[in-house]
Amino acid sequence: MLSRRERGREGGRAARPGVLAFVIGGRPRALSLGLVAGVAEIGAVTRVPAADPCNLGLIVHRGAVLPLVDLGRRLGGGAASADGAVEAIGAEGPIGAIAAGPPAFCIITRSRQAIAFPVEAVLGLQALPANGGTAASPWEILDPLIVDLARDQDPAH
Amino acid sequence: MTDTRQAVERCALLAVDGVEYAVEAAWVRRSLPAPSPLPAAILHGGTTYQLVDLRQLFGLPAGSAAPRQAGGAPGPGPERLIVLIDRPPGAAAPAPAPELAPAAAGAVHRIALVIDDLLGLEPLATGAAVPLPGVYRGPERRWFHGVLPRADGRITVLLRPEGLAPAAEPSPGPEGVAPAAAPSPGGAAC
Repeated sequence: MLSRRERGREGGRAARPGVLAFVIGGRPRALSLGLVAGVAEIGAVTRVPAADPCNLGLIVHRGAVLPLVDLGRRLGGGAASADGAVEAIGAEGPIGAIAAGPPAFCIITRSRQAIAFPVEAVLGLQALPANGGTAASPWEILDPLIVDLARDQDPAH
Repeated sequence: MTDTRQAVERCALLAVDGVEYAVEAAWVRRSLPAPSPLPAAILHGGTTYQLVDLRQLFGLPAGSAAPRQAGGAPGPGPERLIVLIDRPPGAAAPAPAPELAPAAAGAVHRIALVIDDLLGLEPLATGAAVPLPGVYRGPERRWFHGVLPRADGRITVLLRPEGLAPAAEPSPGPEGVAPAAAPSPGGAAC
């Protein structure tokens, strides 16, 4: 069995994992690893009343209160739903559980004002295409959306 | 070294749509069964309390049977309750929060909150409360002081009574004003 280092040598110029891929709204999306703090199971959600329906509520993660934001709705794909997610997943297949009901997992962003967003499936760490461009990427890269959300969250903004 | 001295306040815990809310107990005068249909105001002890149905204010369905959240507050029971809220005697008027519109900042402070259930009184370490995350940018910023993560993983939302009151004074006179009904079996909230 090859060690990680040996695999790296063997792969030569093989790209390192650059994104965490997941499914939202039945479509493959991804976020650069630098913006990902972790993946967590969604526990109890406190549904704090909010004018913005994208705000699903609050969760507690490692003692911190995080907003749970429906990125699917923000992306214009309707409310969060797990139905039909599997068909949209590429050949790699999911490595996270696919919920039969509402999403069971969320991704937590790495930013000063972190947010959590539910996903229908976690596809795992993926390498960006060699050209590094998003045009050829099989996933929709959500970095700009997350950066905007983090900026919106910042009280100084 | 962590400073363990945190502000602890005695709070009344309320439930609306399965979410637990807290309001400083000093603001709570008493609890009553909610009459049906709901009047515009409640007359109690010669004082008029303008009615604020929290389900309506929060945009929640009037009678949805919200499932009980894990460790959370129950949904609406067969009978809803009213808690009469008034600024405690001798308490200074709170400085208006930056989120409060000028009209809301000058709003009435005697309100009758219609809630699903009254969960009890509890000392809460309100000093450990955190503000609402920045993605909450709507009227909820004037409804809530913040949120309090609890040791058991649940979250209690801290109500800001002055932010719940309508900006307009209740219309004087008996029209639409119902005298307070008999107190609930549990008696006064405090």
